[in-house]
Amino acid sequence: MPDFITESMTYILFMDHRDVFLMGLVRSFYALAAGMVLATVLGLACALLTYNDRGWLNKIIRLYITVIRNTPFLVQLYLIYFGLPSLGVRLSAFETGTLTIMLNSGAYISDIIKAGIQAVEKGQSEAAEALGLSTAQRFRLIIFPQALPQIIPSVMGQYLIMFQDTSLMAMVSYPELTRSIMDVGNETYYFVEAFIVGGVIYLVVLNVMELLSGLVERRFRLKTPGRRMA
Amino acid sequence: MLQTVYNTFLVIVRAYPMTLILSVLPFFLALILGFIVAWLKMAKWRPLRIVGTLYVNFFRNLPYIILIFIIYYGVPVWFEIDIDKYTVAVLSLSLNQAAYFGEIIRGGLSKIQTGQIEAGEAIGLSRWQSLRFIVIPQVMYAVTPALMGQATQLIKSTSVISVIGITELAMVGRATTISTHAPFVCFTWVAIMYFVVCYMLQWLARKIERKNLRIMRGT
Repeated sequence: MPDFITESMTYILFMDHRDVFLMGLVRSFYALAAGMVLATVLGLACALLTYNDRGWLNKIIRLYITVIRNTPFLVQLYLIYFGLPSLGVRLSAFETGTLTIMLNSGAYISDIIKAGIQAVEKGQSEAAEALGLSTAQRFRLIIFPQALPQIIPSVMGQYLIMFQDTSLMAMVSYPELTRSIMDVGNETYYFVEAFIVGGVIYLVVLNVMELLSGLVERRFRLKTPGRRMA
Repeated sequence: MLQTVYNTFLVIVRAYPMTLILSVLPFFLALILGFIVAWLKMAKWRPLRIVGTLYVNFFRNLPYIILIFIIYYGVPVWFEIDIDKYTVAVLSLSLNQAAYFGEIIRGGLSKIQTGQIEAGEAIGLSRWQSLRFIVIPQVMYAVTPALMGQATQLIKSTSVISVIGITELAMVGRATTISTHAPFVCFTWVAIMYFVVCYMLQWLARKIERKNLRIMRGT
């Protein structure tokens, strides 16, 4: 590697504190993994619950999604992290952060799933009904499989956003990557170098995630046979 | 209890203008930059396209909080000028959002048929005139709802500016909880204030979208 890199303060700082950065990244991934699972489950649940109009349940879920979409993630994080203890609930920084990610991304994923479902032509649903399938069968066998090619890329995009959101968990003292960077900066006073290291790490990770998501998309398009029927 | 609710509102609402001002300026800057980015990505010369793609990739994949800190700590060191927090905020937000705006504008531009500029020239308009009177109005109409959605995202991103100590809504909310010990009330007020602005923008976007559909349908 060229000297101007290996002898730069940024590289030296990175090598000296690489265990701290690594641990921070691992914790970011930990929050991301938990968030991905929980948010997807929540989003799926909300989308399914609002599939048929059930009156008050639909209204509540719609209200929840609207609130989430129109407030910043950081404010939601603060509200849960600082607000819950005053209601008697005491959670760790990791748990509050993951809970916020779940609520936040869950709302977006629910809308993504709903949009994907709407995108399936009405004719399919009616044809299935004519064939005598129940609502549940209709959904499971006809509509959802055809909605998936639309849904999966957008959901993966939301996962990328989720990873960027984990960087805000630093503001509630969860020692993930951004917090580790701030700590290294505070320790060594080499703030610029620390944040450049962090920036590079985030760029690399997010680009890799984008590539993986592209791979999944390409694999997936080969897997859908149903489109060729009509 | 009611007294606390009222008092916290009075304190927090004073930060409202700051958040709004710090959203408006970056909005227009990001719009201009976004046009440049869109133009770059649609250029005939390949290196320009690469620059555009790199820009979008870079500013979309870098978390905004990291970008703010890099500019905040980096500019005084690299360029040896003193830069105040507000400039850092406006600059970083504009750069970040310009990547998203650029993609939206590019999407709108690519939907316009390429023949429009030539058609304008055929009826006697100059290249610039046909751009101005034919292409850009169409692009603006098509793009405005998506742009409003992104503007919502911009306003929400101003909350991250609080990390460098600017007294906008999120920061004031956090500061007030320390003195009043009523964090739930404080942050609910903050959330409500963001909600009001964003919801109005969303409503505006929906109105424009409906008007667009009516225009395209010819009614």
